[in-house]
Amino acid sequence: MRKVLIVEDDQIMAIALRDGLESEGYSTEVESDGPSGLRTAMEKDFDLVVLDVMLPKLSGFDICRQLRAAGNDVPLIMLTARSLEAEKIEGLKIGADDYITKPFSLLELLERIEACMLARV
Amino acid sequence: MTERIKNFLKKRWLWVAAPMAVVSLAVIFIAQYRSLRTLEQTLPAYRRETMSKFLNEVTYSVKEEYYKNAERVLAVPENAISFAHPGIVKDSTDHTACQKSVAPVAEFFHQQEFKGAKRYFIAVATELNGGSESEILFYDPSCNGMQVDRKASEMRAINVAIAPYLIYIRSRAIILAQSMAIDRDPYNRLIVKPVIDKDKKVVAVAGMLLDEKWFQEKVVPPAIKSNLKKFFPTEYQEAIVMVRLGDFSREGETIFSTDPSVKEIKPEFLERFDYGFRHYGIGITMRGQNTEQWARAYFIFNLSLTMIGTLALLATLLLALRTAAREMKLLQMKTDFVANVSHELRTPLASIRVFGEMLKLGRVKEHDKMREYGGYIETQGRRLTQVINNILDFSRIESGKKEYNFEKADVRELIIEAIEACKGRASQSGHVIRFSQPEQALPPVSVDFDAVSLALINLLDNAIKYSGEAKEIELNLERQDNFLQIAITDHGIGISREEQEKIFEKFYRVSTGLVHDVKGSGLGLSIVKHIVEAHGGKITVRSEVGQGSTFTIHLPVRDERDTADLEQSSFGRFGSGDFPAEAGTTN
Repeated sequence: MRKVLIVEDDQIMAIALRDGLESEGYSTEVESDGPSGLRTAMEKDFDLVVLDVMLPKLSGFDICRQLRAAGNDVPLIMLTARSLEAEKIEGLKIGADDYITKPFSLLELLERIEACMLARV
Repeated sequence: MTERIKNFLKKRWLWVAAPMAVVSLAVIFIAQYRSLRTLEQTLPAYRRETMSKFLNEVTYSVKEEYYKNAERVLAVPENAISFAHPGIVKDSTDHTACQKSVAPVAEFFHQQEFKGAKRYFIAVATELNGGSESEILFYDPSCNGMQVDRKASEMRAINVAIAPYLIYIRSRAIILAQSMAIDRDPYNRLIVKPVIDKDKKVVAVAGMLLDEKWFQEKVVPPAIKSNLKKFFPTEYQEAIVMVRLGDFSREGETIFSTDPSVKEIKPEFLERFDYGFRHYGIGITMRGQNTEQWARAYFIFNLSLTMIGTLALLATLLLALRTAAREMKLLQMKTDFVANVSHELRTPLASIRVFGEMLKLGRVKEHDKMREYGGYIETQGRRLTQVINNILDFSRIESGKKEYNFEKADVRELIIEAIEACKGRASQSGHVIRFSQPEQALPPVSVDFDAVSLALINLLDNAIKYSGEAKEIELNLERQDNFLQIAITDHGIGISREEQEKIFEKFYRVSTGLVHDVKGSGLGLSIVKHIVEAHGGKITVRSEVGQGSTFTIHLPVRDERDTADLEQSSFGRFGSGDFPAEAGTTN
């Protein structure tokens, strides 16, 4: 069973992601703020992390940077609802594997998750 | 009252600042100009030129006065003398013959008036017993005739003066009939003028002895005084003018001084009088300030002027910078706003889409789950509606097209509906909204139902958003004199003093340090404020950092009679509108 960490502070969105991924057969863990998300990612092993950009206390970008700096190269997909192109480029530059803007199609997300995991094999 | 002034200044500061700046700069400019003009007049070159010109003018005008008078009073007509031969008068040993020949001249002199003359005379070439002689006859006013006066002290001086003319007379020369001043003898100064016949030949010499006292007392002082005023209009007090017989060393004698207390001066400029008074000199010096002294005296003045000028410049600069900074900040806020609005719209949509997709794909088996998802779609849909309403309202308000429709309504109903609209979202995040209201009947109010709803929903939304860990939200309704107060309290992160003023500004969001931390469009509170004020009410906030906040809407209660006035549309626009009355006063 492949494990996915979801870091998303919007509770409803978090439920949607959790249920959506679990319906595809992943097992999930949900963190709802930046610091705990980072801690969990560092302490436990995951096959992929779905990371929202707008998080309280610590942004998704910072989490990504810190993870990569610590040598953790877990596949990472960033989610955002902001529309700035510059942010997308920034995200990919600092080491995210993919970047998706909301609203997105669930199937598309699942495809991208699959692709990320395959790329790592 | 002060709040009115503050708000007025905030809006129209340019109208106040610009005239003030212009006026003060004008004042500074004029003051500097006048001070520099004074400086110019103290400049050595300028002053020296003026002093020199002054002396020139005084000596010239004195000379002119004597010259003109001489030309006039000595213009003896040729036919006043009976000549035996051209230019020669027959004389007798007792001089009576000569007297008779020149008698008409007395009449001429009698008619002339020149107070500067002591005595008039006429000199003629005579023939006596075959010999050539000359005779000098004085005008005697007492008998109105011409008299010989050989014992007169002036005789020697006159003889010397007329000697060349006698030669001209006998040689029948033609010369210019101009008067000439002769002052070889300082005690007997005289002016002579030749009398000429039709052929321009000299036939006699008329002359006058000058009254020195007249010169000293009646000619020189007025000339000096009038010219002083002319050449030194602002500082004639500063000039010391001295006239001396002789020179300005110890041996001279002061005849006139503009300042009798000063015994001696070292004149910066001096000149001699001309035309009969060569022994007199006139000198001028300036007391008081030269340029260095002026500079010292005006030092403070100039320094202050410079400082004020610099301050004015700095102030203007600062003002300009501040305006520029504000503009840039506003621009930044607007850019952020666009990005954030985008976020606010997309987030609920994302959830709706995912849940919808899951339902469509048939990945949801249990009915409970389906109902749950249906609930989420509904609340997110409401949330989206709320955001869209906010944006549309904001846009209408900004373009001045916002209309309010006032109708009688029951406040309790309004509040209950607003709470219902938020209940879904609140429970999903674990928040509880408690409504407390008074028991006694409340008067109806005239409100725009949708607008006030929107306002309440915005406030409740904020309460949920900024509650943090505390899950209790209270809504309290009560009546306070002529106002209904609706207070929404949360126990969240609170708002600092400085920010309490700013939160009602459009685009403003409370900063918690991290850019990505702050969600929301920044429109909510500014819209709430606009709505509340359009109803003639006001919104207040009480908050402490870390303890939570209470936002209170004060709505005026209208009498039955007044309601009629409000049932009409009213236009609203950010930045304009009446300021709410103080609580407790009738509106």
